[in-house]
Amino acid sequence: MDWKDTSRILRADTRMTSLSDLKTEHPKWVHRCAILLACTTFPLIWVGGLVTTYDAGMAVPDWPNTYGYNMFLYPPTTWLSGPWDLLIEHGHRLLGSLAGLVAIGLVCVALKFERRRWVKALCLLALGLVIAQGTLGGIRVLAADRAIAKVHGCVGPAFFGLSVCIMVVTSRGWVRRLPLDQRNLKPATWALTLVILGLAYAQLVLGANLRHINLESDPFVFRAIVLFHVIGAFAVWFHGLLLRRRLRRVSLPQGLKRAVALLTLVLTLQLGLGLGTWVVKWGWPMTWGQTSWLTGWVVPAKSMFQANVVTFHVATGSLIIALSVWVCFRLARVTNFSRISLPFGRIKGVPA
Amino acid sequence: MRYTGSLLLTLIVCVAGCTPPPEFRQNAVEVKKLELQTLGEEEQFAAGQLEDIGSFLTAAFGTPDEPDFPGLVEDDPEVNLVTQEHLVSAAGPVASLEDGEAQGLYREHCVHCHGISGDGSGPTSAFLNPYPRDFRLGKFKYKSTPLNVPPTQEDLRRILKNGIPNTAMPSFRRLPDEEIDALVDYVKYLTIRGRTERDLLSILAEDPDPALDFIASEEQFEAADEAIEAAVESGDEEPYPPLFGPNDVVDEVVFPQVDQWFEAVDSMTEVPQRPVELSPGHPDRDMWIARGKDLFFSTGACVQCHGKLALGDGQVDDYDDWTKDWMKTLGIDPAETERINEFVGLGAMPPRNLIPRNLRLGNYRGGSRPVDLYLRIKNGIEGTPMPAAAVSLTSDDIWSLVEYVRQLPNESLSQPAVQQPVNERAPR
Repeated sequence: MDWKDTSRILRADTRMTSLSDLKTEHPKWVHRCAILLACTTFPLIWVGGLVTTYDAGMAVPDWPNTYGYNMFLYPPTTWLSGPWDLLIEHGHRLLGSLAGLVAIGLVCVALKFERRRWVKALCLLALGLVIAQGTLGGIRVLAADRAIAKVHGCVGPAFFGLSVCIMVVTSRGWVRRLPLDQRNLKPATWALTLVILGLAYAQLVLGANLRHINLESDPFVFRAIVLFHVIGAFAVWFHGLLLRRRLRRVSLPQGLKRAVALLTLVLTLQLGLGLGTWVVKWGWPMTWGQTSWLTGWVVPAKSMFQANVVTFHVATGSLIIALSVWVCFRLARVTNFSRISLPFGRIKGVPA
Repeated sequence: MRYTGSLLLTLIVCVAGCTPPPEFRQNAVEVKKLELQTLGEEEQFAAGQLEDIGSFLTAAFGTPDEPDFPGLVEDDPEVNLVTQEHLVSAAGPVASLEDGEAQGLYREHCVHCHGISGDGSGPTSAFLNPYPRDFRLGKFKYKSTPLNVPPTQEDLRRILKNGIPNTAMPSFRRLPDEEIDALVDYVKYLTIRGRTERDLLSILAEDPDPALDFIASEEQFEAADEAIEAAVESGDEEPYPPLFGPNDVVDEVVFPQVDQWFEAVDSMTEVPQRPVELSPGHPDRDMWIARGKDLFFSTGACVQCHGKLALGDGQVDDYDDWTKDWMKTLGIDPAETERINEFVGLGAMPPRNLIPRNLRLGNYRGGSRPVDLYLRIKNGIEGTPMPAAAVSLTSDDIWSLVEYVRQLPNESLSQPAVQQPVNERAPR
């Protein structure tokens, strides 16, 4: 055996050791890929929101090509120096493709390094969802149908939530779970995160219905959706505050408490943004009082200010979904589910 | 796998629901109103006659995706009230070309409030106050022309650019002039289409004989002529000839409206120079403003609606013409919920009292320039209880009123109350 053989064996050994560590302890690369996916998805959602705000969805009439070019070969100078609608729509497509590539990378890394089958399934689901989302976007363009844009607007945040979920379940905090006797969170408190998540997503669906309303729909349908959207906003906010209050006396990692604080902060911000969206879209309602300043307000159509407020509101909705997923999964690891008492007895398989 | 794409598409369309292209809606409120006025509670116009009107409107004005306008001259666009180019860029679904040219402007900027048919009942309209304008009545509030005369191109352009403060009507000042003009043309198009429909329904209501062919095609006319000749020869009772051909409707109903729009510029109200006595610092200024105040309470009769303190708390139980058009015409009491709901179900907006402007806030929906206030007082505000100035009021009188109104926000009564130390104990 010469020195080259020895070196090859040593290198192989080292690689095996490190791979083994990754598999058993903490699948770092899967986690990193999931972070990258979430970080790619958020700007994608933001730009997607801008596309709807500016009604730029039909700025590129073909798909998957862009004005006859392969999407990736469309001349950058024409794109960057072109009209605003083209800039954001084509940018949205490129960002979407990037998210798709990252999702493919995530699946490859997960299949190689991840041991847990359900996490692999989640990664595959993410890939399926991003492909479906891209297809939906394409069909929306080819069919020129706003109803499909509504579904497209609802799937995007769900995908963002899923990427955050993968990020959490591949993190060190998830892998190194606490022993049962150190988990001091009541299941009822944890269930609040599910309520927040459910309500936040319902809010998002209502919001998508408002943004992509059928042009011939009854005015009273729109009014009802607005009403439910406003009630829902306060319901999510209230549950956020309730969760924070319940967690105040529970001993939790500092990072987790900060995440919950951030969630309530973002929920409060979202209320303000919702109010702002109303004002920049429809003006100050007369019932809010009549002062010289309020009565002089003119709604600024298609201004940067209006577009930014509305899109900020949309993107923050997705951010709430992501934070809710994060808090929900992280709190699940410190929740003592054995304390669930059901009228028909204990859940089978849950240790006492 | 070959069918996976098709299956996916079918599934998505099933879940999302395929959206058919939008269509102009029949003015069901007007139909119901005229039926109640002329036929009675249980009777209705013959479906065929209403279809005649619908078919004529489609033939003459096209559809929301492919609009048309009667009598457009292709070779000389200058003689047209609206241009086909503007209609095409304003109509249809929202899109934009690679060079940035926008299409579907009306659906991008206006349809959510004003609706596809321009009936003011778009999806967002129910919670807006005031309700979005229903163009079909042909009335516009803020313009430089007298009552019952259409606004000028510039009037509509100004409203689109400046928006209307304290309402949901936004300012489109960021849109290029070409797009503003396209929207103005489309508003004219919807107005004339809507008024044509109303006029045809009124003609139908004058003679609602179901046996009558209301609007017939050339072929139907020829067939009717033959039937009449045959009846004469055989000595039978002669059938009625059709009332109108499409060209008759265009000549007698559409073109007179087009002429009115063309002539609006000639009817613009002349605004004389503001008297020098009203310039800031002039010794007689206060006297002229006091004269305006007198007129506010006397000949001007402003006090009746705007109230003694000009807070807009005078007459607050009146309605605008869009509500009165069906509610007051039929003598429906606002408390008759069932009857009101019947009309709301047909597309009318629920009645809402029109509150006069609080003049102490210093903001006016039709514009805050002195000339805007002059025009509002001189011509009134169409579609609202705000009347045109009495004939006896001279231009100097109107300018005095304008200045009196303009200084109202500066009066001490209009300023926020200063907190008084009411509980402070008097020194012993």
